[in-house]
Amino acid sequence: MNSHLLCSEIVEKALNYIGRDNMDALVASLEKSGVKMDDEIFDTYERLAMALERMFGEAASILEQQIIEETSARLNFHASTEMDFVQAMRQLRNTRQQMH
Amino acid sequence: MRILIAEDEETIAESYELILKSRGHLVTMTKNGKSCVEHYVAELEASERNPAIKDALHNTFSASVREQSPFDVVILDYRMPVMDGVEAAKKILGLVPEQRIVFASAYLRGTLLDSIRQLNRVTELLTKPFGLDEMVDVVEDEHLYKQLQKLNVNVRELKLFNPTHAQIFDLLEGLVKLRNLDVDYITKSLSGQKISGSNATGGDFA
Repeated sequence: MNSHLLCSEIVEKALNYIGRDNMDALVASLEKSGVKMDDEIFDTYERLAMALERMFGEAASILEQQIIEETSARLNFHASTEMDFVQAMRQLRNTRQQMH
Repeated sequence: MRILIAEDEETIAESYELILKSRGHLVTMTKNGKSCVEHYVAELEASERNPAIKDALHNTFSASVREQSPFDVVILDYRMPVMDGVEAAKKILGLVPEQRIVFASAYLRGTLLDSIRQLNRVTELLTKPFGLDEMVDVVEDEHLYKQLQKLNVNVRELKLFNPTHAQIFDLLEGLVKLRNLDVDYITKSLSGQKISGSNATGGDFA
């Protein structure tokens, strides 16, 4: 299991399909919104969710789902489909803390 | 997609149904606005009896529209007997304000004006006469996907998520804004000006 889950790595891998130039613009914009991309993903998830919802409205849920899946894959963890982004990230963080 | 159609001309209705079913959509045909609204209400009530969907219905509309609405899109003929398209749209939007509605009309100006005056929104419009391919493109959001492709989005991968019309639209709008922000940022950086926020409007495609 990776011990360090950087927000930038997760977001870039999960949202690869939106294209490199869009990704660069997104990362720059997230950093301007106060989402530090060199933080661990769990430290920034609420700000990340808010920023994505502000930028992409209804589409944020698609992007968030991909981020959840990428994070879950790295942690070998199954997030429930019933959960929203913040709930899933919270559970992932708790599980990770219990394992340490 | 689950599609509800109101069209009073039988041969036209049959051709809509045939092409959309051949594309794998679930199509419900009705002959006028009144019957269309009745079908809509019946489906909505059936959804409400499903506890999972009932919860979504009573939440805010920021939740998934897919779960709240019994149909992904409602296509309404503008002029119909018994109840016309605008009246039917008004009743449907009264039940589910986020419902996606497409008018099929030969009266471009009249439909747009009615849409704004009576529904307080600009709805999507298929201007009659239109080809069936054109209708499929509108229903399946091909015009939005093409614009996303121009922005280097991997559309094939995006389609795997089965996004709603609202999600595709919001993604496109968000990316356009992001790119305008980026251009704004680069332009100001190059000219040595202080960056003080965005004036991105997303109006390029709107």
